[in-house]
Amino acid sequence: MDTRTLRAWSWVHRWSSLVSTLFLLMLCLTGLPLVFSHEIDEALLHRDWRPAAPGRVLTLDEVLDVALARHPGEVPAFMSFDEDRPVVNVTSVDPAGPPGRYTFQPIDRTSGDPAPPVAGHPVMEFLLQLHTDMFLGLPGMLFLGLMGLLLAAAVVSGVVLYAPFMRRLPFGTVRADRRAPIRWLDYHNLLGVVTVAWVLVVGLTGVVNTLAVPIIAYWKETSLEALAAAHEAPAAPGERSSLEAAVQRARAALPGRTLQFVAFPGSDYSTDRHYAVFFHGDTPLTRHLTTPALIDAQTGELTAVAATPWYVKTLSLSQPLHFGDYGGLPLKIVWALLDLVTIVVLASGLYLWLARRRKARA
Amino acid sequence: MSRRDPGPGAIFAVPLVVGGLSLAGLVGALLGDGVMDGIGAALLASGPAVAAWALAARRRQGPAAGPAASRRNPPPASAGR
Repeated sequence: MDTRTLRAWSWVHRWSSLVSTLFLLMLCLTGLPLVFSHEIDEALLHRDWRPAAPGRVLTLDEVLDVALARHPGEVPAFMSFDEDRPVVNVTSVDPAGPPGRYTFQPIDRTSGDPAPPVAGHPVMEFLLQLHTDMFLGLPGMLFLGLMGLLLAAAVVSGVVLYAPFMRRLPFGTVRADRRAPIRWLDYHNLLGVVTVAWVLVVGLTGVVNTLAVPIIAYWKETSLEALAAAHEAPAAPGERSSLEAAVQRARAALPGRTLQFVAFPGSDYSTDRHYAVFFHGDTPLTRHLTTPALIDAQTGELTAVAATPWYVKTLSLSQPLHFGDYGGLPLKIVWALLDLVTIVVLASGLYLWLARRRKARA
Repeated sequence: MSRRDPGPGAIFAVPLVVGGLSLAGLVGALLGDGVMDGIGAALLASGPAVAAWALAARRRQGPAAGPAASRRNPPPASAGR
């Protein structure tokens, strides 16, 4: 590699790292406890709720009626299902109210009584929000996505620069007998190069996750609206067929899968005409891949099984690959270890830049 | 390229193996539960494991590392590689 090329890569590595390091350190530090958020929430929160009438099961229409009776004037947007307790979560919205303000009601499916919401511990919720968008909403998410792209540039340029540095050193050499900047350069190179694959996967899936809002909006506007275009008028709340029957019809179209949630006509994730009934599979891979069956909300007939396009599948798979929550506790422990190593790589990179600057000034 | 230059193949041999094992672990744990989770975590741990090995086996310790280290270690001529 000639000097000019080397300088160019060096420039890319320096600036992509410098601009993003503080944000990446924040992401690594907040991400560390978030890897164990399920375990931490279990330990800190007391969830000793019991259903009121075990054995009894209300139909989804009955649950919906109960929920809407508590908030007259609102229309249903989503209905989701807890996995480990007989609770149905109804999300509704006031059509005349401000957009995006939803009412969320967990309802005991055995009695129709309100059930306590399953929320994370406030500290974990705070860390998650900081990690996701720094409390800045979509602009914050997209900004962190940009930091993720800079991370990818820093990793790629770091790999390119690794070669000239290691030309005369056997792999893994740490010159602990030399002065601190050389010693830390060796630590930086060693720890950086053995974590390349994981950092790139977690970084790039993080970037994809920051695009969740535009990806879902695009999917709704293109694929879902194309399906809806073939149909006439929207299905108003008063003229809809049974929700329970719609879910049963969808289940028959997608047998062997687990019901995840229902998107009502007019909501995100559905058209103005359909109940979109979402199912997921049962392997770690398919658990994250959802498939909706669109049921005509007026006639109750199946309109289509709308397989999600590649970009929605990419988004779905980016979530486990970013969170590391798909392989049990051993995988989480390795995830945390790699996160700690990445913190050392980031901090040593910053130290090396400062040391070099000090030397240049001296 | 000088005769001492080992070339990118030699420089990147270990990192490439570690990267391959890590990716196999990441995807493997996604494809199955139970045993696959364990294998996935073990493969993904190859990076930290190789780093730990390097820190134990390839960390050059000489007199400059401090007076305590120089007392414990053999003379500098044989300490480094």
